[in-house]
Amino acid sequence: MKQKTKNNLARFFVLYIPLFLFMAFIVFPLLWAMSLSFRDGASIISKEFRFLPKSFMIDNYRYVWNTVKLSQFFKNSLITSFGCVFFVGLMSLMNGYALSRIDFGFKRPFMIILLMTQMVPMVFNISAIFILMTKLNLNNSLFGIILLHIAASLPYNSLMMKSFISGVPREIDEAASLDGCTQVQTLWHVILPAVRPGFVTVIAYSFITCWNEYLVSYTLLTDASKFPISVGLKYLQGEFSTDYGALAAGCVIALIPPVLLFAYVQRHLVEGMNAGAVKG
Amino acid sequence: MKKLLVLTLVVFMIAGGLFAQGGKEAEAAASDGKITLTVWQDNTTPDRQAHLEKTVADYMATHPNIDVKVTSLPNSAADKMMVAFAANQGPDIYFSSGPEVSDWVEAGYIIPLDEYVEKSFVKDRLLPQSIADVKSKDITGQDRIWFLPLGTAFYVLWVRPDWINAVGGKSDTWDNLFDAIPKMTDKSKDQYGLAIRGGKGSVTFLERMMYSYSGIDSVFIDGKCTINDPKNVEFVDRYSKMYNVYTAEGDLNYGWTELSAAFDSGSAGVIIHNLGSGDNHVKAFNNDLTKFEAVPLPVGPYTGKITTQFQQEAGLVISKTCKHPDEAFELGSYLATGASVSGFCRMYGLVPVDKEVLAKDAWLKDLPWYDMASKAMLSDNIVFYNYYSWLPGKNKVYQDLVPDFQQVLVGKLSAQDFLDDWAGRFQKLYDEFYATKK
Repeated sequence: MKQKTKNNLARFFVLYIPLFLFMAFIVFPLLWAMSLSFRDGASIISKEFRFLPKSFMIDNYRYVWNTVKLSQFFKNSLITSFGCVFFVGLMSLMNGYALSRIDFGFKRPFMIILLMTQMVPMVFNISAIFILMTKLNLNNSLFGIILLHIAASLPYNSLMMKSFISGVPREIDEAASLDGCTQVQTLWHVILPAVRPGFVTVIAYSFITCWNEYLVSYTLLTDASKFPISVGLKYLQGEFSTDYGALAAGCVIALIPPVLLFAYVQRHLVEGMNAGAVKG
Repeated sequence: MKKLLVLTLVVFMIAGGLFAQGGKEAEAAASDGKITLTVWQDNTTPDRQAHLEKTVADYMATHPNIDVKVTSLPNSAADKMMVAFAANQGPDIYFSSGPEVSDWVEAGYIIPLDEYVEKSFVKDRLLPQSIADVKSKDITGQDRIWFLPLGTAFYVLWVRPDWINAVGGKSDTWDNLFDAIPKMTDKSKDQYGLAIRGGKGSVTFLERMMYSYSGIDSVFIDGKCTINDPKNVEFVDRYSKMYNVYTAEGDLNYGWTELSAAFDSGSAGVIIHNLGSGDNHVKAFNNDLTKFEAVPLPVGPYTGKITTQFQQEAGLVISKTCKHPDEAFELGSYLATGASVSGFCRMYGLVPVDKEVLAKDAWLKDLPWYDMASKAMLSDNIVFYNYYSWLPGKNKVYQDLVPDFQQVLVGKLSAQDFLDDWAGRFQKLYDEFYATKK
């Protein structure tokens, strides 16, 4: 057997087959959920295994969108996620720049404090957060939820941006300065294009975190019409039974924005995750 | 850069608009002279939500001075309620699932309702044993009413009458049932006589079955825990030995969802649950009543009576921060009686405790399992054992003991040792509770 053929075979068994198996583990549940979402209740609980439904029906989608009011929850999630992403993107860029390029007093303790905020689980603070938001009259508003998401995401994302910006040589800043750029212009026109993959990573990460968030929204919001989609999906899990078809349809709908986002940013995302990996 | 600034401004304006909207709503509610009451309900589904919203809309139509704001919450809201009450932001009225009421009484989050009940029509509408049961659950020991009862859960065996009849078996007594289960089992057809709940919630259900078998009428008698009574040990021993012989191996980890699926898919002949799962079985068996039936918990060998819980844990509480408790109680009494409670109980699988609903509402007669439960509850052959639902810390013991029960099922722990440990834990809670009351 030729060496090339041997290499190809080895590659096939060592690389492609394990990769295919891993992919099957990830993709099969998604495809199964999609399959369930197009079926009626009787065919879901039937003993007969069938991957493709006998007849495709979109009743589950209609039901969750209109009757369960998932359309409203979806809209709420879009408002909170995009609201959060906008500010987190902007502020973490500025924070990252300051932490990387500006020397100010207590910088190191400040960074340690930023890290420490990430070490306390949200559930630990939930009562205090509730009281604080109540005092600020923000406990039942999407604006309050956006603020909390920003507060929760900003420290980690700022440190991440700091790491990406530190990867850009300072000489570039100096060159921009010599060309007459102010610090803001340098950040916007020079640094941002250079750290675009990292910036996209921050955007994607904070969007997913906000989109999937459950605990804070469920605890703080007292008007059910303001719930995000992560809470709304829970309506489909009954006390004694679960409407699997509707739940699958709801999950597929909830997946659409993150999937679209990742499809758009995936190239930058991979670059971004690697780009800051070895920078201090 | 200008674009960015404009975008920032737009986002702030939108966010500010959202923020300001809340304030305007609050102002509007205050300025039109109406009394605003907030009502929260948990474990809601779209159907349950629609029922509450319609009920409240009917109420507001006849009470134009009252504006009721409903919040329907998915899943159990016990944690959310605790946080909201602690921050004085709880609703005026809450549909409580029950066990947590004791905690709220201790923390002073809710108000007693006995004086309201005394003056209200609900006093004559609710079953006397229902009121007595609520009073017996008063953690302060003063027999006060802290919640308006809505209905009681009734635990039954869901059985396959076609299977049990085919083998000439019966489910009226535990002995008959234990004889029938092996005969109904045919492993070659993936058919098991029984499905055991070994996972989440298993110990709670085990307790119900133990007392049904032993007929002991209280978890504590003269201050001593009866969990490890020899009759209970006998039951756990007989029951656990059926695991993986007349049950599927997977039962070890079954929670309610898996248990229900085993019955509804035709793998198991007998399961224990309450009436709330009736609608699932109707759907699964396409309303073929020859394939599923609810029967009372079997009669034990020692008393000849049905022994079960009067599990009346769903009820309405009124928050201490409620600014209009009179109006809240009036709304509460409306929600706890008539068409409102009838629909509530139908959807939550409870037997109503409103006498008029019990006597008149057709669904209680039309659905065989509710008819059976109503008759059983009113019969002389039933004993409701005192299960001390209010005892602080009890629910945690149930959760903590699930792995131990699994050890019993696989034969690594004896029923005696398991129940001795369980009884010890309950006894500790009991002694600690009464020590603080001295």
